[in-house]
Amino acid sequence: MRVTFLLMEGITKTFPGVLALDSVTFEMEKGEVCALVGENGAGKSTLIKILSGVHRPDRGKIFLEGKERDFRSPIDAIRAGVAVIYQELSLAENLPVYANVFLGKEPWKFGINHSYLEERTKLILEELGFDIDPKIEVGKLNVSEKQLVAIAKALAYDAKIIVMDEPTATLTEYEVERLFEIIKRLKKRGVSVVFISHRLDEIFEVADKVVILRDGKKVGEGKLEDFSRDDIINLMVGRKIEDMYPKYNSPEDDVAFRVKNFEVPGYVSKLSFEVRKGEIFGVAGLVGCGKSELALGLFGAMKSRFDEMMIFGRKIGKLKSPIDALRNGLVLIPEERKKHGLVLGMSVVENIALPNVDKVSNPMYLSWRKTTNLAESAVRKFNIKTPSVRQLVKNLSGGNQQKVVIGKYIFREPDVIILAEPTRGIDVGAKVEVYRMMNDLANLGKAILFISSELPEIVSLSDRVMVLHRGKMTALLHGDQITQENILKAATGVM
Amino acid sequence: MKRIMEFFRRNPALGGLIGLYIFLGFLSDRFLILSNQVNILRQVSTQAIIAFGMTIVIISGGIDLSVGSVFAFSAVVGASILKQGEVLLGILVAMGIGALFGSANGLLVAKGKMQPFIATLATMAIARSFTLVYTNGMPITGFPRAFGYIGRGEILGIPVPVIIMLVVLITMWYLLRMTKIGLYSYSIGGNEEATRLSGIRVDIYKIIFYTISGILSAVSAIILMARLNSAQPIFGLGYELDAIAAVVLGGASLSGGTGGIIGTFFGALLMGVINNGLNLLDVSPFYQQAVKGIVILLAVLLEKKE
Ligand SMILES: Nc1ncnc2c1ncn2[C@@H]1O[C@H](COP(=O)(O)OP(=O)(O)OP(=O)(O)O)[C@@H](O)[C@H]1O
Ligand SMILES: [Mg+2]
Repeated sequence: MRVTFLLMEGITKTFPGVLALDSVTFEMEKGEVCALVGENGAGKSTLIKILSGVHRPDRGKIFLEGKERDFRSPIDAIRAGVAVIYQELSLAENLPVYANVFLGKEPWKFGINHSYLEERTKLILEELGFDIDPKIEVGKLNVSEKQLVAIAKALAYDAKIIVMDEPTATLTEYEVERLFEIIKRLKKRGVSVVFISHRLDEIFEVADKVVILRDGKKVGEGKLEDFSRDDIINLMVGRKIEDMYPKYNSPEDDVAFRVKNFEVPGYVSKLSFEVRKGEIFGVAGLVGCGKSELALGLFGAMKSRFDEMMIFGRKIGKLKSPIDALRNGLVLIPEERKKHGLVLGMSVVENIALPNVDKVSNPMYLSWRKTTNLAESAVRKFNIKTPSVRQLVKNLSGGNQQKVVIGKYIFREPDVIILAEPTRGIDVGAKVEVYRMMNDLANLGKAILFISSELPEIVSLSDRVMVLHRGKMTALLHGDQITQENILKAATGVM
Repeated sequence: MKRIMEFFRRNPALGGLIGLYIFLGFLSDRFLILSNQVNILRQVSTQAIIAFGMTIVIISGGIDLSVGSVFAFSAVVGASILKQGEVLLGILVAMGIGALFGSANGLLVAKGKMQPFIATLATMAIARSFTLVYTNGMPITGFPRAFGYIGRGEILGIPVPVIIMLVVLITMWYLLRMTKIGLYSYSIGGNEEATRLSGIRVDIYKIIFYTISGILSAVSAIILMARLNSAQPIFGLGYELDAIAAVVLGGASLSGGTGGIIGTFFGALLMGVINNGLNLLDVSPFYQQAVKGIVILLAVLLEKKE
């Protein structure tokens, strides 16, 4: 009798107030790439956390190569050959690459033989076609390289199944291509890959089969050939989405926001641009082009210099901290939500309260009733999936966390809104909501700076697009000039 | 049942306390009588007040090692004024010294970007040295009668120190739960950077937290001085450790973001009950520290276990 390589049978998992998985059965063959898709909070991460021993299921069994397994901790799962590359990479930033690859697996005899580990690491990296110096500190690598290190680490553990939870969310198009190459190579080695992503194009490119979850239930499964994009979306959200990229804002002529010679030393040099009222002003460029730093700089979170900055006719003299920016009606919805956007150990209501304290508090009294109302209206407005506003943010799914970040800043009723990668990690339905919100805000006369690495959304939503390359503006596109091609050319410095 | 376990896991001190009350209630017939209970509260009050200040500092991700030395220095300076019959001025100066050292700690941490452990280790040494220099190593005694009331007086049978402690407890609870200062202490401890990007003056609030801790050390010192009718240069030795222990027993984590005043109160009470119980049972005081240490370990283990 043929046995299924991996079989997770009837998996049920509840958290207080949440049925995260409802007897889901998940199976996969050796060397197969399986895409796991679903809306935010559908239970994808929970399913793989059960596979990797982080959580134990309330009910259900796991069989690997026909044998029943009981993973009581991540170590059990790793020993059995299940490696997970998480949404947030967990590497020791202060150690060199080779030490990370063999962390916890150092051959122990007579101390650690560094040059031996270096050699072995080099072999693994070469075999995968990575060009990374094993001796370099991981902290010095960019996100994409860190991911490669995580993959190498999985292979050093002889992983049979590698799970990647939204691995492409922080990668550039080129890096995504490279990752797909690697996935294909892993496949050839007989490694099975579970691939979670909110980008359907990627799934069609890389996966053999797809499993669709909705509200903790499996609602579809099969070979990718048998599905169309729309089938998957319909199954995921349970309804039809007519327009992926709604656009209905109408820019006015008045300038809402202007900077002259804006610099973030070391990252962005002498940028001058203006954004009109009601305009969605796109900012594009490859990772490392300075667009993230531009966002932090404009918000006062990184040191900057400028000759002039103007918001709705008000001149901004100093910009020493986010307080100055917020006071002048400029907010940033930051791209690194766990680092910059959220206090994970606090509840939804507390996180939403933070930038809005002046609305709900005087120096001597903080009204929890008002704060709760505020938070509940954010939950309704952005359709945040949470049992209550008292839930800790760390217990929300990734996409719902992102919605909390957006929610907490929007109540400040800002004039200029910088959104940095606002749709990273959120599902199709929520993406459309974010796009609608951008249009609505623009139609209220706000100026929107829309920073994104996803070209389709930049192209579809922006009225003008500024392209950065090595911290300099290489193009300012408008109207028909806004195409993926033109943006890519400018972003690589060809134009 | 699961709920109950979860509750004790979050409040390790309360679990320990209940256990000890049952245990000591059986072993000693004097333990549960009212006068002994009042006595415990009175003994605990000075420690608890310091620990309340420590709580807000630890929640915000910091630590204040200087509380014991600041306790001593504010006591001796206050005492030198009290000795001249100036009660109100003496109290204000003592609290002023506490505030001064507290804000210095806050400045070093917030503006000087020093690690709290190091900054307050330094001020701990400095304040202790100032104390010895100021007193020449000699105790200061003999205060106005009226001042002694703070340490030995009673209102409706409740000792004044206990009343002061309860006032501080309620105030600090309110501050942590019902004001933005409290909200910020949790958020700074949880994620300082995200708090800053929410437009909050993290530096100023850190200074406030350490200043509160300094002032409460002084308040505690005033009570002890009034009770003993003297101020000693060796006052407050090791108090920082007891305060930290109370906070941690109360469910806080030294990495910040969690904890609470009620928990700390139970933590301080637990330590007080251990002292009292060991006395009643005639256990040599040499064992006291070991018993405390074991209780701390047990409590934290219980908390860690999921
Ligand atoms: N530790 C936890 N405690 C409480 N609830 C949790 C916990 N982990 C997950 N949940 C809840 O379980 C549900 C499924 O979450 P999960 O993280 O699996 O979603 P997801 O499909 O990975 O979503 P996303 O695409 O946003 O990452 C969500 O409603 C989430 O709030
Ligand atoms: Mg997830």
